[in-house]
This record gives sequence, structure tokens and C-alpha cells, in this order.
Amino acid sequence: MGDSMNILKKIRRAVWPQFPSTIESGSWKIADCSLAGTGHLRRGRGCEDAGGWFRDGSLLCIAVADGAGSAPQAALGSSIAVHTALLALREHHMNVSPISAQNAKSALVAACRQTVSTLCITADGLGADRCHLACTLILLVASPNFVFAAQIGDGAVVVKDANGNLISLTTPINGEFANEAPLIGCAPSMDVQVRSLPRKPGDTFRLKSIAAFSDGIMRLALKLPQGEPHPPFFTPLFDRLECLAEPDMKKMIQNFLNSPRVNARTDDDKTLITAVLQ
Amino acid sequence: MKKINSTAQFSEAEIGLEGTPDPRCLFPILVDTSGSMTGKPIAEVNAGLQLLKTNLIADSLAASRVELALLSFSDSVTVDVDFCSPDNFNPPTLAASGGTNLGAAVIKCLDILNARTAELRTAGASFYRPWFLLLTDAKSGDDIAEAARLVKEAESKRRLSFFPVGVLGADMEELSKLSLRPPRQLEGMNFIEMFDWFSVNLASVAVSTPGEQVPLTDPTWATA
Repeated sequence: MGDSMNILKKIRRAVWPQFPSTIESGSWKIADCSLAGTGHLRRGRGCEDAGGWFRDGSLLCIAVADGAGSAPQAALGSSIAVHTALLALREHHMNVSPISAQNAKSALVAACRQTVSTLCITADGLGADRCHLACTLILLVASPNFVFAAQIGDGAVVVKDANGNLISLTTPINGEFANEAPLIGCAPSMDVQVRSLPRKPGDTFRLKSIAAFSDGIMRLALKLPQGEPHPPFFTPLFDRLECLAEPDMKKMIQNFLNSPRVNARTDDDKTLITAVLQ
Repeated sequence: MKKINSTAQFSEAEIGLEGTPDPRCLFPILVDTSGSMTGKPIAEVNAGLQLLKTNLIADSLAASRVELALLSFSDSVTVDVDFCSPDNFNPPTLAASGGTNLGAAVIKCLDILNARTAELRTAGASFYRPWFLLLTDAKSGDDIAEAARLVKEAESKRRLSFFPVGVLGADMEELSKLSLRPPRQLEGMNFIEMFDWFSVNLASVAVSTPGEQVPLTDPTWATA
């Protein structure tokens, strides 16, 4: 599997094409972190989560993927998924039409389709079973007055509106059993559900903060099975992030995910991407 | 809402992590303390229970997910320790004497298991399939038919992993009537090794995803 290692290294080395971005009113400050779970380290598996984002002015796009535990090439699958999905959204935004509340849903669905296709093509190219690259995917686009998210499998997106309300935009999607989340990559087509705020087009909505995360911290941050946000988790998290500068946000997220308290409650890989509107 | 002014005032400890309770892995242990266990066997069981506790505490995730209970039985059954986390598991020193009312003891153990399951379910917890260790000579002084029916029903509905272990001189044929899973006979005085095996394998179940199949290591402490 030398080929797949090379592809993975290339993806991880790639410098994500950033838009020129100045931190100004109506733009986002962002912090992200993916860490290997203690259980993965114990079993000699590295981090099989992947996360990424880009921003352009007031638009923000985030992707989070969690390589399936049953997938031998899980780390490669999740990295490809994040990379492909963000590239597809960027391509749409730059060369098709700027992402707006009107086209966000179709842009997300198209990006998910592109991701499925790329995962299948990569698996075929490697001579691997398609499920060897399977992963979950959360894909999100946000601006100050709307947020859309597509999700396949577990993990979740929680947002805070300008009035301080915490809302689960997406909740974990599970199969019949807790360990049977639907995955992206095994089949060439699939249903993609897109959730949005405001729920009805035309309603007034003001966004303040966003957290997108993989299943590694799901039980810490959500009340399952309902999937409601756990306020003692998000309220201090967002309060603090909102008054930090971007580099300090990143440090805080890293320290938090790495803390013994968190590791005492989860041994899975954990990815958290947070964004705050200034 | 709490106002946060400076970095110094904030620590990540303020972030509450108890959104959803950890999935629980219930492990009741039912020990035969009839006269046949007198002497070295019961002493080894007492030492084994301490080892089990120590091993489970050493794994922080298992320590927060496993709940142990200890019941002992001879002519009657006693709940020595009701379900609790490994760090709160403080078993009394068991002593052996009297007869073996196995059937009633198994039913009592299933009762407290069901009660705890119902309690946790109400609190919103999810579950691993419970493990149930029975350590006995199986020379039963009462009828085990009803106990066997309940155990087999729970096993066939995949609600219970029942581990019957016969001590030296046990009536293995009688013991085999109790469950679908065939009993194991402890080799000699391998109690410590047996409890070590349970702690290691239970810990690997308790850190898995609920529902996932976890392969168990070979129980070298027993003969099939």
C-alpha cells in the first residue's frame, strides 16, 4: 500500500489555497484541531479524522471527516474527503457562482457527490475495496445570516445565534446500532440530507458561533440520543472563544482536546472546528 | 451568563463534558461460598477480586464505564456489593460454609442486574451487553430449572454474556444445564489468572463501540 501512503502524505503536505483574508467585521475567526484518540494510539493507529476549512470575506466553509474504524485506509479516506469536498465548494464559489443562501444546498450536494466519486476512483486506482476508504463527512457553509450543513454519518454541528441560543444544526446519523453510522465512499451514490438555518427561507437569522465536530467528542458535547447541545459544554467554550484572538483560539482548542479530562471520557480520534463571527 | 475577562480566569475545566453518560458495562459476579470453597479456594477468590478492581481502575475509560457487583451464596444469597464503579468496589472478605442454593442465587443476581439496567436506562445511558460471572461447584441444593430458563432466554435475546465457571470437583454436567454458553472448568487454583483474564477482556469490551464484536483472548486458566 505504498501508493496510498504517498497520496496521504501529499494531501497532508498540501498547502490549502487560502483566500486573502483580513480579520474584519462580518468575517470569521477560526480554530481547528484534529487529534489521535488514546485508543487509536494504543492500537498503533494514528489519527484517522480529518478537518479543513476556507473563508472568503463573510463566507466560511468547513469539512470534517472521520475514517471508518472498519476501513483499512481510513486516514487516507478522510483526508481525501475533506480535501475534495472543500475544493469542490471553492470551485463552485470562485468559478460557478458565489455561494449564497439560494445555491448553498445544491453546492453542498454537488460537493458530496464529487467526494463520493473521488473516493471510489481512488480506491479503484489503488486496487482496494471501495469500503477501505470509507468515512463520515460533515460539510458546512455559513455566512452571517445563514448556515447550511450536509452530513453523512455521525458527528454534529452546533451553532449559537446572535441571541445566544444554542442549536444543533445536524445531529449524529446512526444506523440500527450505535456502531453502524452510514459512510461515504462505499457506494457510488447516496442520499445527502442538508439542514439549514433559518429553517424557512426569508426568516431573520443572525449567526454568532459554530462548532463542527467528529464523534470522538459527541458524548461530551451532546445529549444523546436526542442530539441536543449540552449547554455546560458550549456556553463556556463559545464565551471564551468569542473573546480570544485567532492564534489563542487555536491553542485553547488544542489544550482542551488534549486534556486528561477529555481523554478520560473518550479514546477515539477527535476533531473540533470552531468559528466565531466578529 | 458568566462574564470572562482574562485568560487567567479561564481554564478548560469550566467546560462541562457530561453531555451524555458513558455507556455502561455491568459485570455482576456471583460466588459460591458453600463449604466446598473453604480454605485456599475462597482465599484465592478474595485476592482475585482485589486484582480485578486494581486492573479496572488502571484503565481510565474502563474505570468510568464498568460497574461491578458481588453476590455470594451458600444456603442463602447475599448482595455483598451492589453495582458500583471499580474505585468504589470494596468487597468484604468472603468466607465459606453451608450448602449451595444455586438456582435462587442466579435469579437474585439477574434481578439486581435488571433493576440496575432499568435505572440506568431511565437516566439515558446506553449499554454494552452485561457480563455475568458465576463461580461455583454446581452441587446445587435447589432446583435450577427456572434460573436456567431465565439465563438462556437472556442469552438468546443477546441481552447477557453468561460465564459459568466450575471450580475443582464441580458438577460440570449440572452446570452445563444452566446456560447456552458451555461452562469452563477452572484448572486447579487458577483463580488469580481467571480474574486477570476477566479484567483485561472486560476492559477491551468497555472501550469498544457498543454493539461492536470484541474478540476475547484464550482463557488459559480453564479447561473447556
